[in-house]
Amino acid sequence: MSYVTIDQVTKGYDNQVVLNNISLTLKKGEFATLLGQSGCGKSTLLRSIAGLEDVDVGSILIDGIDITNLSPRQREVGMVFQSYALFPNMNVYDNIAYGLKMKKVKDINARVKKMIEMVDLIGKEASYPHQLSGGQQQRVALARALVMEPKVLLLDEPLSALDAKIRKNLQKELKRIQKELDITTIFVTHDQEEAMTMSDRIFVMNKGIVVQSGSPSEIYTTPVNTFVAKFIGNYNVCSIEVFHKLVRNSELKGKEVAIRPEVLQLVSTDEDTSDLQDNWRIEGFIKDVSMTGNVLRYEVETVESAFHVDYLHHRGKMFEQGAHVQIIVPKNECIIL
Amino acid sequence: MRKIKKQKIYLLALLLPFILFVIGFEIGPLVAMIKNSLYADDGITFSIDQYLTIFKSKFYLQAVKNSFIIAIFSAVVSVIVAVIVAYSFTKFSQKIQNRLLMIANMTSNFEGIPLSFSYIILLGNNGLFTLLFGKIGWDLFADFNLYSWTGLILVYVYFQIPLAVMLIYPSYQGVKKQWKEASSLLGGSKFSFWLRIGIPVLLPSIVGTFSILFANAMGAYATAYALVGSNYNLLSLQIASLVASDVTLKPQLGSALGVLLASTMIGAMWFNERMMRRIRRDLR
Amino acid sequence: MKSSMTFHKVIIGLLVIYLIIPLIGTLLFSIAGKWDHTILPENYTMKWYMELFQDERFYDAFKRTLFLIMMTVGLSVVIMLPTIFIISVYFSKWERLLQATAMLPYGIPPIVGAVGLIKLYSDGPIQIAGTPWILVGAYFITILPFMYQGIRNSLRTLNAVQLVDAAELLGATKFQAFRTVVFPNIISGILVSTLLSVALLFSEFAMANLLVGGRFETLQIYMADKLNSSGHLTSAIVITYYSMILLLTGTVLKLTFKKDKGPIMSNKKRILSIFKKQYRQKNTALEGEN
Repeated sequence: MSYVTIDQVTKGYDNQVVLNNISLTLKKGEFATLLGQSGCGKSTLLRSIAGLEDVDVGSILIDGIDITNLSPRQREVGMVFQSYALFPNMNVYDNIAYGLKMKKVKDINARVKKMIEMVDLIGKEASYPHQLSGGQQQRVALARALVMEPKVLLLDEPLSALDAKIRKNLQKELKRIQKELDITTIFVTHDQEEAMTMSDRIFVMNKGIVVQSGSPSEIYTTPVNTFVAKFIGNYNVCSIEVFHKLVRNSELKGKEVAIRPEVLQLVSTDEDTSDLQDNWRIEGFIKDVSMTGNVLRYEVETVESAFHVDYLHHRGKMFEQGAHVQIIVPKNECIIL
Repeated sequence: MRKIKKQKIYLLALLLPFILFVIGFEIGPLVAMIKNSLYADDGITFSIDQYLTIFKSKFYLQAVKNSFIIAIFSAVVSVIVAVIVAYSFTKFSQKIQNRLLMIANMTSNFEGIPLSFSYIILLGNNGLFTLLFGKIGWDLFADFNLYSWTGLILVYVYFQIPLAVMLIYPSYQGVKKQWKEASSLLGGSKFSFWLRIGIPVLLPSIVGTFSILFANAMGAYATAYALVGSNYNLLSLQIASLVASDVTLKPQLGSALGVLLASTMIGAMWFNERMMRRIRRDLR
Repeated sequence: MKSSMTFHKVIIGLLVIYLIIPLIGTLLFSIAGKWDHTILPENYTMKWYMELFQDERFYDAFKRTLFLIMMTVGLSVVIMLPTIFIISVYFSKWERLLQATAMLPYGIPPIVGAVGLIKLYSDGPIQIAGTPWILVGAYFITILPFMYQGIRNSLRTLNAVQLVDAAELLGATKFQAFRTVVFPNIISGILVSTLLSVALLFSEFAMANLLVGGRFETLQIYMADKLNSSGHLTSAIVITYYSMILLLTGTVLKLTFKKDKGPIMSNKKRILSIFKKQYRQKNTALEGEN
C-alpha cells in the first residue's frame, strides 16, 4: 500500500524540462532519498510535493488524497530548508510554536516542550536564531516542522551547510527521530555517502528523470548505467572493446564494464598468478598514490586507460609510485552496463 | 490551476496604486514634456520650431554652454580633489577613515538654498568675510564677486567634493595591498605600480563619478536660483522661468529645453552605467 | 614615510577646513551681536533665534513640510512594500522592469520633472498644480529609487521568499506570513531608507518652488523668501535647518554603523557569514569530487 504517490509529474521552466514524467511511490514510514547533482530536478520535485512549485502535468497523492492543487498550508507536509529559514524575530520557542498558533490548536505549550526535548534543545527556548550554532538552528527547524505532526517530512539538503562533524551527528539523530516517530520522510541530497547512511530507499535522479531506485546496497552493487556507477561508487568504467583488449579475452558481452575500485587487487609483476582461476589480469604501473585517511587509492595506468584501486590503509606492503603491477580483476565483480 | 490564477489577479490589484503613481508622476510627465516640446507656441500646431529656436538663439545656446562649462569645470575640479583626498583617507586608521567619511556624508547634505545662504552671508556684497577683509585691508577678495561665474563655481565645487569623495573612496578598496606587494616583488616602483595597475583599476570609477557629478551640476537649480537668481544665464534657470514665471511663459520652449537637459543627463548616466560594467568585469 | 604622512594630514586638514568653514561662519554669525571689524564676534546673543522662533510663518512652513514628508514617505512605504514583495515573489520576470522604473527618477533632475508635471496638471481633468497634492505625487517619485533599494535589499538579506514558504507550510496564509514574518524583520532595514528620504525631501526646493511656490509655503520656500532679510536671522534659519538635517543623517549613519559594529548584530553577521563561507566551500569541494 503506497502512502505517497507521484504520478507522471512533468514540469518545465521556459522550454527547459526540469521534471520529465516522474512516477514513484513510497510506503508509510519510509525514509527515501532523492539523490543527484545540482540541477537534476531533485529540489524541484521536493518543492512540488510541498506545493511551493506548481506542476505542469501529473498528480501527487498523500495518504490517498490528491494534493496536486492544494495550497502549501493545506497539504499537511513539513519541510526543513537548507538555510534553515528560521524566523529571526522569534525565539526558539516561538519558532516552534508558530505553526500551532496559526492552526489555533490547544495544548501548544505541552507539544512544543515535548518537541524541544526530542531535539535536545532544553534551555535554549528563549534564544534567538542568531545566537545559535548552525546545528542548533537546524534542530529548531526540524522541531518546527515535526511539531505539526505532518504526514510527510521533506528535507531539502538540510545538513549541507554544516561542517563534517556536526553533520555526522545530526545524520544519526535525524535517523533516530525519524524511526521514533515513524514518519514518512523524503530527503534531498547531492552527497552519495549521506544518502547511503540515511536511506531505506534511494532514487537517483539525473536530468529530470529517476535513473534508478532501490535500497542503498542495491544501488551501490548493481548500478544500472554509467551515470549511476560513476556517481555512486567511483566505479572504474571502460568500454567493452578496451576491456577485451586489456584482459585479452572477449568472454564478456555488452557495451561497458564497471568495476568497483575496492574489489581490485594489486600484485607485483614477478609474482606468479596463474593459479588464480576466476580472475583476469591487467598489467600497468602505479601512476599516483593518494591517501584519504583509512583508504589508499592507487591510480594505475594501463595501455588503454587508468584504473583506481582502493586498499584499506594498514601496515601491509605498499606499492611505490612507478612500480609495475598486475591488477587482479575478479570475474564475478565485473558489471555489464 | 485556476485557483492560482485567480489569486494572481488579486495580487495584481495590489500593484495598482504603484502603477498609477508611476504613470501619473513619472512616465506621464516625461511623455507630456516630450510631446509638448513638439508643438509651436500656440500649443496646437505640430512642429519642431522650438528646437530650431533654441539652435538659432544665441541666448539659449549661451545658457546651454554656460551650464555645460560649469558642470564640466566643477566636476573636473571635484574629481581631482577627491582622487587625492580619498587616497589620503586610506592612509589613516579605519576609525579615522569612518570619521572622515561621516564628515563627507554630513557636508554633502549642505546644499541648495541653505548653502547659497551661507556663502552670501560670508562672501556676498555685505558678507561677513567681505567686510572683514575689507576692514583688515586684505584685497585678496577685492575683485571677487560671489554672484558671478567664479562664485557659482566656488559653491558648486563645495557641494560636489563631498559627493565625489564618497563615490571614489570605495574604489581604493579595490586596489589590493597584495597587488602592491606583488608589483614591488616583481621589481616595480611605486610610480610604475600606480601607472600600470592603480590608475587603470581606478579609472572606470573616476570616469563614472565624473559623469554623476556632471549630471548633478547640469541639473542643479536651487543653488543657482538662490545665488544668482536670473542674473546669470543657466539652462536650469531658463527652463524654470519659461515654464513657471509670470513674465516669460513659454511652456513649449521650456519643454524642448527640458528634453535637451534630460538627454544630456541620461547620456551621462548611460556613460556611468557602461563604466560601472567595465569595473565589474575587471574585478571579477 | 613620516613626511608623506604629514602630506596626507595637511591634505585632509585643508579639506576639513574647507568643508567646515562655511558652517562655522554661519553658526558664529547666527549668534553674533556686533561683528564687523574683528576676527571673532565682539559679543554673542541669542536674539536671532528668539526672533526666528517667534515667527509664526516659520512654524507654519515647518508644519507644511512635515505634512508633505509624512504623507509621501508613509504612502511610499505602504505602496512600495507590497509592490516589491509581490513582484519579487510572484512575478519575478518583471523585476527588471520594476528596477528600471524605480531607478529612472535618479537620472531625471527635478527641474525636468517639474516641466512635465506643470503641463499635465495645470489644466485638463486633474488640476492639482499649486496644491500640495501634486507635490505628494512628485515626491513619491523623487524618493522612489531610495525606497526601492532599501526595501529590496532588506527583503533579499532576510531571504523573505523562503521565510514565507516556511510560514505557509506551517499553515499561515500569505497575508499572515507577510505580517508575522516579513514585516517585523524588515522595519529596521526600511528605517534607513525612510530617514534618507525624509532628509532628501527636507532639502527639496526645485519642485516645491516651480509646482506650488508661495501657495503652499514649505520650509525651503520660506528660506528662499527670507533671502533678503537680516543676515543674522537667515544664519539662524540655516543653522536651525541644518541641525535638523544633521539629526536625521546622524541617525541614519548611526543605524547603518550599528549594523556593522554593534556587538549583537556583529555576532549575528559573523555567524551568518561563516556559514555562508562554509557552505560555499563544501559545495565546491563536493562538486570537485563528483
